[in-house]
Amino acid sequence: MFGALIIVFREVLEAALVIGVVAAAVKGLPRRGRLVGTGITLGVAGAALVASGIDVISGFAHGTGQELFEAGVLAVAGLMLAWHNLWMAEHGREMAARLESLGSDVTAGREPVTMLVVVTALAVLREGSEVALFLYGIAASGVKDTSLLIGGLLGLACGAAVGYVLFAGLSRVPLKSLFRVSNVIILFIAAGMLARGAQFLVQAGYLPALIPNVWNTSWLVAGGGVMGRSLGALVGYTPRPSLTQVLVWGGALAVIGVPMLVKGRRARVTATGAVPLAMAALAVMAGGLVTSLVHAADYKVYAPTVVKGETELEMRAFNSWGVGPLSGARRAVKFAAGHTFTNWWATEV
Amino acid sequence: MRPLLASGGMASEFGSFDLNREQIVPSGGTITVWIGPLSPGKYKIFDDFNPGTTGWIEVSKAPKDAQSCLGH
Repeated sequence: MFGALIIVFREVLEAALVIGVVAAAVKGLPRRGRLVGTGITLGVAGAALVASGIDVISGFAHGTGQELFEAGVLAVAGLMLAWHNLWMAEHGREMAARLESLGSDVTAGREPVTMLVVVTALAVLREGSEVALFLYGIAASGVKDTSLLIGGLLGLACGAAVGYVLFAGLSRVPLKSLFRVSNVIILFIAAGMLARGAQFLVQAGYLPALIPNVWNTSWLVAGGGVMGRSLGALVGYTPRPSLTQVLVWGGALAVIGVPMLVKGRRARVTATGAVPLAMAALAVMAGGLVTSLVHAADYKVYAPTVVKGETELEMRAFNSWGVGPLSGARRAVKFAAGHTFTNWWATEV
Repeated sequence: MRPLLASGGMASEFGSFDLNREQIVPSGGTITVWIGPLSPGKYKIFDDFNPGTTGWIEVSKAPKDAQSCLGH
């Protein structure tokens, strides 16, 4: 029973944390509870559907259907949260002002409604399908062990309780800083979701890992523990991320975070100040990418220098070995001949 | 690289934080997990739905020589 409790708790926890944050982040939205309920209902229905069709999904796209599905769900949820943050950067202040003067009965517009329902539904869908498979497995195996089912249900209740505690805690944050706090958390949740979505594409072989394990922090926070899972849900933590995962994470933080800083006038970063900031962030990203390509060693780095009157005859060969369904073992040889006519123009055949 | 079979009428979830992988194995079905090339070492794998089921993938010198063992 205790085992089942832990298993279900861990799965539910991730969804509950996300829902707790987004529900707190839309304070002042009328009928918030009912919207969360709608999202959960949609998510549960979707999860049951996914769980019953897991065979079909798994077999889809040469056996990479599961990864595509996970990546898709994470991408949609992540982009939705990113969009919400940018929207809040624009309207958050007026919303807070209206909330303060009018109490909690404020019509906030359609955007937060969509975000709340969709993100809740997707969070439940993703983790719920695993819970459904697990509980269904117990029920279908004919084991007359109701304690397992009870354990599972207790795990569900515990996970939901943690999510609610987070929601209640955030809701106590004074209105003046609530949106700022929740937007920062949502920024990290979104970046984490996009990075983990990218990792699923790496897993399926659609994206290169660049470096499979950039670092290993499993000694610090184990991925499977409650701490690791919570950090996974909130900031996208995995103990041994691939470089692609790290780059997507950093890129998402920059792309969502910099406009937030620019638009949030409270941060006192003027637009002129933010442009170098954004450029610095992109430069760091690009630097990371270039170093990674050098690191990957089987990539050729082309220096962007062109010298007039240079003629070039070149043979390139590459050898790749299977990291995915699309790139089985391959070998190719390419010849090229080129001439540079000016200091900035190089041709190549 | 290696197909996994979930028997006993229950679904499993293949997982490994060392390999950065997680994938559901439908009840009675097989999945293919693409890994590698890996640097030599031991990589822990587990079934997320069965805490007792864990194992190691051991990579000696070349990725070809990868051996896996799964025990209860």
